[in-house]
Amino acid sequence: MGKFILKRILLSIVILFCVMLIIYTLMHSLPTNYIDTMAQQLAQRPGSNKSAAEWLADLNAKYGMDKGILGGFFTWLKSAVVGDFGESWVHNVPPTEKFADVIGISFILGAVSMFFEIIIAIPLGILAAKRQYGAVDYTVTVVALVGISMPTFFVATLLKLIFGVKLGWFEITGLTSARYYDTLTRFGQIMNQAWHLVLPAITIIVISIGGLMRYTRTNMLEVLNADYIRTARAKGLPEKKVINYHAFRNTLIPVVTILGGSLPSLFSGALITEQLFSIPGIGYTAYQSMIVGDIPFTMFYLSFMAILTLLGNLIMDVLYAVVDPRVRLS
Amino acid sequence: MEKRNFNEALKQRELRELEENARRSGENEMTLDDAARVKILSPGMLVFKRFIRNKLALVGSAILIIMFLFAFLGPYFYKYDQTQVFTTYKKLNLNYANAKERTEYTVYTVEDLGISVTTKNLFNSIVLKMEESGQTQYMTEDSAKGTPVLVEKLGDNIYTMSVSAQTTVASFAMQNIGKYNTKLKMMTYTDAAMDAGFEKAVADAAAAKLTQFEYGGNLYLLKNGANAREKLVVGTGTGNMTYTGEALGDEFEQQVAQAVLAGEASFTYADTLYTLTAGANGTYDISAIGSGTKLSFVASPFVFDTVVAGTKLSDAFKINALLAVYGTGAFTADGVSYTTSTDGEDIYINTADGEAFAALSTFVVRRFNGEDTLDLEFKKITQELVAKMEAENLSSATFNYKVSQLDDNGMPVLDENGEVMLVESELTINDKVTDYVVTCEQNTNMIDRFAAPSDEHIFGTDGDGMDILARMMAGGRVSLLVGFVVVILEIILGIIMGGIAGYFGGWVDNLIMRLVDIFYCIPSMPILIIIGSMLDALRLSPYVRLMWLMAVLGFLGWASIARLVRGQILSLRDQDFMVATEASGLPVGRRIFRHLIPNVMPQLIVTATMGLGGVILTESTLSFLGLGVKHPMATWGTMINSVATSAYAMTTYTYIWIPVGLLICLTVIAFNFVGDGLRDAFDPKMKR
Repeated sequence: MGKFILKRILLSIVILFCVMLIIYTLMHSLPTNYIDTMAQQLAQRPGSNKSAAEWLADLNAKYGMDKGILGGFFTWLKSAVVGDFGESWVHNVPPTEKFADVIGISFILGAVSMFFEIIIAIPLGILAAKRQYGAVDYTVTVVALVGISMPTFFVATLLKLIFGVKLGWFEITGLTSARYYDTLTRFGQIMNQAWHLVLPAITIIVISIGGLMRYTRTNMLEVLNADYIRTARAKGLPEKKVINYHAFRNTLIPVVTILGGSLPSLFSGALITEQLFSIPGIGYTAYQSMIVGDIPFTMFYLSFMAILTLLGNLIMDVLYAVVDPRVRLS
Repeated sequence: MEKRNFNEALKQRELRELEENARRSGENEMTLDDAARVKILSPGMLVFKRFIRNKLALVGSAILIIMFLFAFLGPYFYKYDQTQVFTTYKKLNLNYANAKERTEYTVYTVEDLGISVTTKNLFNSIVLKMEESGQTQYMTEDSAKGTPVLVEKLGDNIYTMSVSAQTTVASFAMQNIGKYNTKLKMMTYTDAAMDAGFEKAVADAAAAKLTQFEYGGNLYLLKNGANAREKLVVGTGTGNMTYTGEALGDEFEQQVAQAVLAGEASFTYADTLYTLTAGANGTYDISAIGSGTKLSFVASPFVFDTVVAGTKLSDAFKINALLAVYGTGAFTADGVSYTTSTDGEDIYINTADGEAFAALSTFVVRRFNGEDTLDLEFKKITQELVAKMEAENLSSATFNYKVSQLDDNGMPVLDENGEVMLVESELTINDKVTDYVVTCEQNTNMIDRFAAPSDEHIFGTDGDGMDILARMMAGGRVSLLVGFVVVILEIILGIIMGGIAGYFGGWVDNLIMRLVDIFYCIPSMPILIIIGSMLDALRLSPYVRLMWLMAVLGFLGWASIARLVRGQILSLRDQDFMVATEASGLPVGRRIFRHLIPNVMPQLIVTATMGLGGVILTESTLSFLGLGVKHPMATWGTMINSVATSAYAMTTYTYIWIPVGLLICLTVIAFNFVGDGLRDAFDPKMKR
């Protein structure tokens, strides 16, 4: 088991190295005049503490933009490995510092959404599988497919229109009420932030609930078709016991695995949703950096995302091996 | 010997029997051993039958067919083009006229007598000077030629400029009697000494600081001498005046003396203007400006408001009218005779039979573009209201008047006879400090932005005045095309990579699978955003962008297909039919592409169908963020982006973004339904 995990970790590191190389190559191949123009524009923004020339010099020092792709890559890797990503052009602080500021809110948003996703999607998926081709099954399938098919921005805009504007229950952008946030007590401030996170969370849930629901349903159907379920039924167990003990537990194996695999993505933030609702999380911050060519923060964010994905895959593999002995043997 | 083919013979007999059976089958019942009883379906037909049994898949297929017809055939039947900009006529408060009190004088040339332009341009300032001092006549010199020029006031607001004809009537020489020293109180005479009485008069005048005094019926002047103590005593009188003609008398001489004393260049005596021209040694030539004066210019701030609006008046008419107003009261211009009259305030010009023809006014009311097409009554109302506004210190006033209007199609409003009809409208006068502007609501041609849905535009128009429905069709075409191109790219790349990996196995498989792992790890949305913003900065044309977008999407998406193909091939590779292809010695390419890939096809079709929906979602999200397809190319994402980014537009233009958003949803849902249905149809094992 230990050997298996070690092998996967080593493989992950190799893959991470290659992904970073590709990302670096992409950044390195950005047209020079694009980088120059962006540096000029950003240097003229109020609050920027360096001139464009200084930034470009920084970039060359830390990112080796003036060297060849490979040489530059290792220059960057050397500083990146110890967490030195230079200084963000937009935020004027090192990316890691900015990251520490904004990751909390992204994590809370992701965790809350995931929690509701799980408690809604899994029971519904199981119910649909139990009554395959019944009214419940059709409803769940249609709702899940509609959810998957809705563009994030459309859901977000619809929610804003209905709950933000027409009903007036929520504010449509931002994390805090700018006008009176400072006058609130600590508890009031937390409630105010939570109130602002309701619509983004609903958006994320609507978009992603369908996938989990369908996954649960498919797995449950597979389990219900298995021989041991037939055996359980044949030996006269009550249907309740067949579903709740024999089928459900076995359905949980792949579901828990995939959920474990998506744990790291709690930190990745919701790029589009955060941007649409102006929630200052990691996704929003990264979007602001990416559209203006802030290379230090972008590189940091891309590396971070790659690590999260690899971590997710690793957790998934390990969980598979833990719950399913056959994988370990092969 | 002829060989007999028994096989052929048997075949023919069988055929004959079959035909006979067929003939009989119409009459007879089908028998149990009849081969036709068992209907055999081809595998494709089986899949199809299973597919159409799935209601959701059918709904999805129907939506897709409609969507394709809508996007690809719709534009051929729809009357509008996606980039056609529509205009409309809307009520807009337009500047209709402006009104102003006119103070500057327009100079009309009666006859060009060679007065220089500089002098002509001085007309206005001379008139101002005269109005200040109340003079009615003013002499000046032509700045270029030095000829005397006379400016004369005919009456209020009408002035003339003439070249004067002058006759010298006399010359006046001052007699220098002597100097008086105020300190020593002593007189020094130039010529003969005068008596003591004269000296006393001089001393009194000097003490009283007078500038003139009378002694013995003669006028004497005291002028400042060389220094403060010295006064020059100058005598005037009969002896100093030399007349060229008859003598004009003492009073005239005193006038001359006073003019000299005041340093004036002209004076009026007995209704005649005289000028003084200074010569050497205190001599002056006195000339009378008389009957020989020739009129050159007439200047007046008056404008002619004709009763019939827009009548063109010749300069000759205007000149004659201006000259007649304070003169004879009658004039002839262009062969027609007119009379002038006044009601104390306004001056009118009437035709010979007494009908009003025009009015003279310094209050100018014109259409805002400068045309004089307004009628007299409109002008009068405006003038009265402006006077009222000034009196009551109002900043605006309204009144109703019939003005020409355009109807909703941009044509002038016509009455039942087809004549242009004037429409009673409300007009507003606004005080704009320098002048007054009359505004009126009028139908104006403008771009039909954000028009609400109507019969003409079923879904309204967008912010550029383009028809939403036409753009929906065009946007659908782009979205579907992007989806297809990207998915085809992904499939080609995926089949090649997956096929190679699965078939060869070993280190090739390992290498390609690690590559797939790497591509799985690349965060695609951030990469797309970076590339989108870079393409923004490079300002590429929308079409080139579109190509880039498709290429990048395809390049980032092949990994999952490669993995699928590889998995399928691995499971198929060891099956008997593949062993058979190997045994029969087929080349590798043929084995992969003719025997393996077709067996992977079902899964590929399912993945591609689902993938199409995903690509359309990605594309519209990017376009919504403004980083995908760009204006003027329409895509569904861009259309939503243009109206849903601000809270105001989002709530106001729901009729634009909600239908477009639903289109995206419907299309993607349909692809997912169809994909789902296909999977179930291809793989019935999934069904219980």
